Amino acid sequence: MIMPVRLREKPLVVTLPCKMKSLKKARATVRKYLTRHGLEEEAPDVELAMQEALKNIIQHACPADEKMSFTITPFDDRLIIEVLDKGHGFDVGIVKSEPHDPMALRGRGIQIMKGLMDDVEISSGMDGTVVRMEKTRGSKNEARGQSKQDMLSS
Amino acid sequence: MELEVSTRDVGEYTVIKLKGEVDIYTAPSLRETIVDSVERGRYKVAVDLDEVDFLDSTGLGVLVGGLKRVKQHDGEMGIICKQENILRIFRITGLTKIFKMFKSTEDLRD
Repeated sequence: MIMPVRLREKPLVVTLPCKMKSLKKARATVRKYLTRHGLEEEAPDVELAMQEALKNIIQHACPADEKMSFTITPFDDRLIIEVLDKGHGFDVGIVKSEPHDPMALRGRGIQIMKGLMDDVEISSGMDGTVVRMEKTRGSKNEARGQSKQDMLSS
Repeated sequence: MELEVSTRDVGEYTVIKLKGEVDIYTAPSLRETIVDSVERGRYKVAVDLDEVDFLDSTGLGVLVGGLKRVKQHDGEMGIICKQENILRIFRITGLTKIFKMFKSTEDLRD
């Protein structure tokens, strides 16, 4: 019998304007929440992946007069992170098929998210964008993330 | 936390030491410092990230821009870092292959 995974703590739910100035506040809020709940080990990876997800949404998907929101739901064995907006969306296929030229000045956000998280799903349409990320507690999944990048760029 | 930027010359390298967070707000000051070094004719630059708490894709883009700039003058750009959290970001993005990686400032003299 498969036991259901227990929800550890109350989820963090934050809504902010789709503006670059929101990034600092988002990061500080995430850090404070994870530290308060004893999730310091996961904090640097979650903070950075979240920052990259929000930045992508601000740059590609969401007008500045709209809102974006994110949630962190901690379970015993993992964290589920969702970032979403109600903007105009963007072509996820183009982002996924972008070559990872090491000398490019931009375009590393999704690469970093995939490298730090155990799973990243991005869906985007006319009614908004959702980035769903999963982080196994205690995992440093860099090798897995890198191999995913190799698959994407091949 | 803001970003503190300081420079000093170590042998043929100009070392740019960063302390704090390198993100979309603070990365422009790093870019300006790299540009200043190149304009002084210092084409071998090493960026010390050992006291950086946070580095995002914007910061990485500025470092790659700096590398392109020094290479136009047949220069080099190195990264000085022992911090695993920062080094992971370089490995994930494949940047360990294009930057010279150093563990300490002393290694620049080798």
